[in-house]
Amino acid sequence: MSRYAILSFLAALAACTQPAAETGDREGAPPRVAEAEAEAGAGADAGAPPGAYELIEDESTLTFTATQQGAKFTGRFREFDAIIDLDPESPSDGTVVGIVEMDSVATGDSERDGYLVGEEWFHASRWPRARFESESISRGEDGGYVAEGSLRLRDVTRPVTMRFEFTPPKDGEPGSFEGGFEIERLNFGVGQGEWESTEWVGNEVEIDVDLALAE
Amino acid sequence: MASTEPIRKFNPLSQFFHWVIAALLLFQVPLAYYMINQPLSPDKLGNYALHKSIGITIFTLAALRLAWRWLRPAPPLPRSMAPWERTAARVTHGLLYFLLFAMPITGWLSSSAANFPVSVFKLFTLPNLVPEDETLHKRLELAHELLAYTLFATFAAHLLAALYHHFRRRDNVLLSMLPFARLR
Repeated sequence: MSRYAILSFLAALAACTQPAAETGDREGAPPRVAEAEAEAGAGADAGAPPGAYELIEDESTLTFTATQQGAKFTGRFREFDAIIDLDPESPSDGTVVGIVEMDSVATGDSERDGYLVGEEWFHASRWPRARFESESISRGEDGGYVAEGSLRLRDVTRPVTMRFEFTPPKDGEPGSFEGGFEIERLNFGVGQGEWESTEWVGNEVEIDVDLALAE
Repeated sequence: MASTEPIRKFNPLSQFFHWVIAALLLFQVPLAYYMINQPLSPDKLGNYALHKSIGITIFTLAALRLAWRWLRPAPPLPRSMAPWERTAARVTHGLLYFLLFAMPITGWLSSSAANFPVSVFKLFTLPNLVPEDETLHKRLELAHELLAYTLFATFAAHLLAALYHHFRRRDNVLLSMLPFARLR
């Protein structure tokens, strides 16, 4: 019967066009250039050293990927600053610092953003900034770099290791810094009380840094 | 091929689709009403996850059901039905089929627009259909809700019509969808 043939053809077509189950990173809007720099600068006790590169805010993103209701989603922070003071020839002398305004979180749903800055999650009114700071930088085996450092989130400071690729700006061409690390939110007290359950909000959070740098 | 006698009962697989989808909807709609009134908690998120998983299941079953209906058409309506009754039956059934697709699709779209990708029983994740957009999300949420009221009204008409056929008209309409019933 030709109806069977048509239906099996349609089913086969549907199966072929079915995209991968995993949702990819989606490109968010570019970070808002605001008073972030001044504010973040005020929060940073180490001012940018003279050799540090300038962050091109419009072309830099700071995103995170977490799991809710069993599905991964990606959010971002609109306001952050980074101090990249690094010489590819001698990375061990370099420093990488990142400062994030926690209330600039943007996940595509303002209700969720509202909860995230609240007491049980970031408690941004009390701890407005998160800060990553490298302690030692070395070359990784894969040609990239490895920064051993610490992350302060809420009132918790813990060691983290960030792997990254780095190309310094050269002859007017912007440089790039791409890297990331994974944390467990509960290690930092992100998600208090009943939110310590990881059944519907996962513990693992991936942080991805993608920076454009100018001289 | 089979005899030329007109079919009088729904095919067993058609009956299966009908009753499984009916049972899922009888769970799905009260669940929706319960979860939207819950304060935010992990339990609420779990109920949303379950609602989405069941919705996608219904969507899949509805697609299979429609394909199967094409291969194994429904038995003809009783000759005793007046033309307006036939029209009413056709409209009601058409609307129910429409809602079986429109409800999960608006739900999936609404989740997408708020960047809440849909996981189906934590087995796999559906891609977001549209980029995040708060205004669109609010509109889709409203559409989903209005469709739910439409579903409720259409379901009531469907149920009353089935009972009317069975107890007042004393025809085979309800019996033709019951798996073990003998026709009159």
